[in-house]
Amino acid sequence: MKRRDWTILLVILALALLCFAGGGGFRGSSPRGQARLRVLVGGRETANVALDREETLEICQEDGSRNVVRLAPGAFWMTESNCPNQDCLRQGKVAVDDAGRRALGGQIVCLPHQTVLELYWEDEEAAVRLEVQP
Amino acid sequence: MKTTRKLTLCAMLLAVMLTLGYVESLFPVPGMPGVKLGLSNCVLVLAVYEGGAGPAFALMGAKVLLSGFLFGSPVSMLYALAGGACSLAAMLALKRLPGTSAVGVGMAGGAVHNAAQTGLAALLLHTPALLSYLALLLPVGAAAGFLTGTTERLLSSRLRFSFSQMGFSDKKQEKGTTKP
Repeated sequence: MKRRDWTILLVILALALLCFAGGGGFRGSSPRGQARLRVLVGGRETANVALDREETLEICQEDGSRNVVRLAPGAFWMTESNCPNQDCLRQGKVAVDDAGRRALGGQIVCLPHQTVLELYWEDEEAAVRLEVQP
Repeated sequence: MKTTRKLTLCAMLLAVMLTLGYVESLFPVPGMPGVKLGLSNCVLVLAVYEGGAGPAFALMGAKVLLSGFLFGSPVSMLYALAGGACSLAAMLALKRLPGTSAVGVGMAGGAVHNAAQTGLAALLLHTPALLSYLALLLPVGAAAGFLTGTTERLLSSRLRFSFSQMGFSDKKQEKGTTKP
């Protein structure tokens, strides 16, 4: 390794640290309210369910893309996909307790189908809004 | 004659890239979705140093196209092209910088490859949160690039003679290598 090679390595590590900080890596997750699953297809939200029961969710698209998500109290995972690489099945389970320890955090991504499963917390503000509504 | 030799060499390198790419797709890294060692990048770093921009871009483009048709999908081709083109451009630019070696250039190539693919995913899926995955993917890319860069250094000293025989040489573009 030459001198400039070390500079390159340092720049890469600094950028990685920046991404870690930007992604809230130092804040830690503070679960608040009800854990929910949001399904995004091509950036648009197509489903939004509470993680409080056992359920099977099927995501079908017009082009024949099909993903099947299994929900359990506090967890979800992909059980089936007709995508070519099957990466989403290998991404395993997102559980409320260990989402912070996963490489992808609270997300499961199926790139070929442009589908993102995302864990999020229904925060206090949203809860208040719901109570106000009749 | 020299062009034919060059073409033949490029075809052989392409075959090596396709084989390496296929073999590594059989062994996914557990816990890190989409992460690959990028073994075929060894050939690309070699092309950057021995062949220059032209052959390197040709090899990358042909590899993306062929492995997309053989083992992938249009989407995977798009991601491979984004990663390949950006990483190659970064490697070619950094190679010109004095004081760098194939190891550093390879590390930058690996990191830029991952950054470009993650950036494209965040863009296509409208999910900027995916960028935080780069905290892991940048060092992983650099580590893989370290391996490919080191492999290139080991290979180039052994293959330089054969390469120059095949008309595959970037020496014309470099300073200080004119004939005495």
